Amino acid sequence: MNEGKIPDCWQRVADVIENGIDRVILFGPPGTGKTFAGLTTGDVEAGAFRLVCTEDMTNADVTGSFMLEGGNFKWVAGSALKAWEGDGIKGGRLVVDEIDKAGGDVFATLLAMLDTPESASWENPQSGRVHKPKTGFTAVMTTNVEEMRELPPALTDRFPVRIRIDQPHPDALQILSRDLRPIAARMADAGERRISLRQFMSFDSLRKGLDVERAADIVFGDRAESILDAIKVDSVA
Amino acid sequence: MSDTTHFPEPEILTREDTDLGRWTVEGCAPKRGLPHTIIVDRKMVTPVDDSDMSRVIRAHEMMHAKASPGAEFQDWIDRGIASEDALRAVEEMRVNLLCQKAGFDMKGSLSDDGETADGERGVALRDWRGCVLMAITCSGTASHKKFLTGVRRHDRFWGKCLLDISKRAQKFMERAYRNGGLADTSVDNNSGMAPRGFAHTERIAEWIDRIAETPPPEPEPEVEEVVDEDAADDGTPGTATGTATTEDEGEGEGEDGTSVRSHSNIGVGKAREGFGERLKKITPDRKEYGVPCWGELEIESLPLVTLVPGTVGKKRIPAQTGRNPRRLHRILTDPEMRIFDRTIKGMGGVLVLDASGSMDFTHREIRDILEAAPGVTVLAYSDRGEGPNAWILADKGRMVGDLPDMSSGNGVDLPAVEWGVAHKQRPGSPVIWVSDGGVCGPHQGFSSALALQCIRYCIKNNVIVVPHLDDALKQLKRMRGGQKGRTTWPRQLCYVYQDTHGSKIADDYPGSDMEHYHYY
Repeated sequence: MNEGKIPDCWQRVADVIENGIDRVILFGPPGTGKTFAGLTTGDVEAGAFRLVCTEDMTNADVTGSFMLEGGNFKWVAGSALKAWEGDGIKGGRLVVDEIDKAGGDVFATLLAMLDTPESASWENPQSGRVHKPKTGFTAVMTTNVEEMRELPPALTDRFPVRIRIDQPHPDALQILSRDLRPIAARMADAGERRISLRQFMSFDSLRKGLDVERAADIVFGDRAESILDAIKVDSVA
Repeated sequence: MSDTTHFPEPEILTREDTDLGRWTVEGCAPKRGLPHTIIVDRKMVTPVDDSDMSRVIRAHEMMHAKASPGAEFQDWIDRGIASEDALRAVEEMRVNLLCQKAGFDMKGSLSDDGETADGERGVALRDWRGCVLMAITCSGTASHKKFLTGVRRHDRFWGKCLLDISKRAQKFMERAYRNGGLADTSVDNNSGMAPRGFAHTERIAEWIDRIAETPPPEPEPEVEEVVDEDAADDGTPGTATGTATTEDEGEGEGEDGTSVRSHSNIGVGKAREGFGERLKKITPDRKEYGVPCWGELEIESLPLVTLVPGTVGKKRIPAQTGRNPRRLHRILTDPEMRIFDRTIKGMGGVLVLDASGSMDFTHREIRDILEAAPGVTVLAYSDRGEGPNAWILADKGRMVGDLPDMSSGNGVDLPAVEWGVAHKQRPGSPVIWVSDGGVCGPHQGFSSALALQCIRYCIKNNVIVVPHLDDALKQLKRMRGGQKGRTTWPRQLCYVYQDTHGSKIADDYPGSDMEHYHYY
């Protein structure tokens, strides 16, 4: 999968999900592959469904809504409901991005849907059918919030395991040239001076066709000189 | 120069000995003393403007963050091999060299123009040590030439010497760079010290300490003559090098580049010539790999089952006064007619015995020692890799029945001698170290740095050093007879000293070959 040792944070994710923990919060700086890990790590054969929270979203994104199709309204299930149903036999995976940005209604609905399997249920307004999560349903929540205290207790109570992701996913780093991989890994968690993995990808791509200083100037702007100097210092043996 | 600011990016740096994380970076003016890096707190203060000088200062601070010791710096100082100020000076040189190797123009840009005054001030105060350290600190940068210019304005001979010292230090550092590992930040497996690259700093700092401790001869009386600087620069007598020409040579120039034909007290006398020659002979430890270190002293207390005849630390000697004339026969035989007794306490003493494979001694010899010096404590040491590495063979008139299995490596020479000094029965008690001088740390080869550390410690603490147990016995008997103990330096220590100092130990320390104590 990757060269060398897997970073501790990612090893924790693998350990937790592969050993049956069905509610996990992944938090930390953006651009480290939290969502990617949520969608792919562990057993996701029954499907993984992503829900990106914004202030303007509605419950339709979570549970579903009627959509006009060929002159008739048709019920289209939302991400959470799809994850509950999974492949019809086994529950799937719901990946909730940026939960801290969800509005009050959506948040309340999510709380209900992320409750324990015994308590969680939702009634379809069209058919009257009561849905419950199928066995095997799991949920991974991601957020850039650094302090768990900033999240509502009702939510964190449903997610007993929280892992801070401070390095990009090892698989994502493989896209970069070898010399940039360790730098990108460190700069993902550099606080105010964070540089995203995507920026390094752009720089890596540009420098293949342009002068290094020119490529750095385009991607990093005013920070280009300092970043190149730091790379020079770091490369001394 | 634009208004753009450039904050350094220390988060990009990697180290093997410590996990770096987020840093606090602040701006400052590009003036000496303001920029600094605190690795432990991950704080860096550097100039952030767009000038060339600020850029190399940023690179310098970044290199400190990359390669210098953080919290471990105190551990390096505590090793006692080099002084703190020498370590700091040489570390600056190492960092500047690494920056130069990384592609930064340290020779062209790193200077704040105050160095010439520093050089003048150092010579005016006759602060040789300060000048040596400053020359090393700014070696390899634009500051170096300016500093030497200041020095030469008052004493061209010092300028020559300092240039030579700087060149040699640069050469040693360059060699370490070529051999690899100058910026190594890993932890040394043997000593546990980090970063390993700093071992090069320590090695050269120990050398610099010796140079800085060698006082130069005083200047000859001023003569009102103008000296042709070209002639003075090209290797005339009294120069320390007379070798290759670099941009640092041909000094005596003002900062505006004009030739300064100032007053001259150029010393070309024999004393100065000899000093220059001697400086050349002072060399650093030849061992360039690894971190020489002592093991931890682990003493095993063995049962002391054999009582040795003689009063423990107590003796009666004839006296002229007293109450009971026990020695009446002395009326006839002693000119001073000491017919009474006087009880005196023996001074005890500690015998520290190198029991490594290169040494050899028997149970009988230990017994002889005890008979010669009742009350002496005998500590033998030898590092066997694991378990105890030192054994108390005799104490308070008793000795072990059987000698333990020793005859392995050395490992703990200095800690054992330190133990001996710390466990003297009284301040005047002698400490005798019996060793062939082949000192080394655990699982290490012979180390000049460690040997020099032993020499310095023994001289400072009046430890009597002898190469064989027979010699120790002789010294104890001498001291018992009222004479002073004498050091006979082991051949290996003599060789190391001469090799690294260019002089004989007995010449530098005339008292060290060497009278110490009366035993009673």
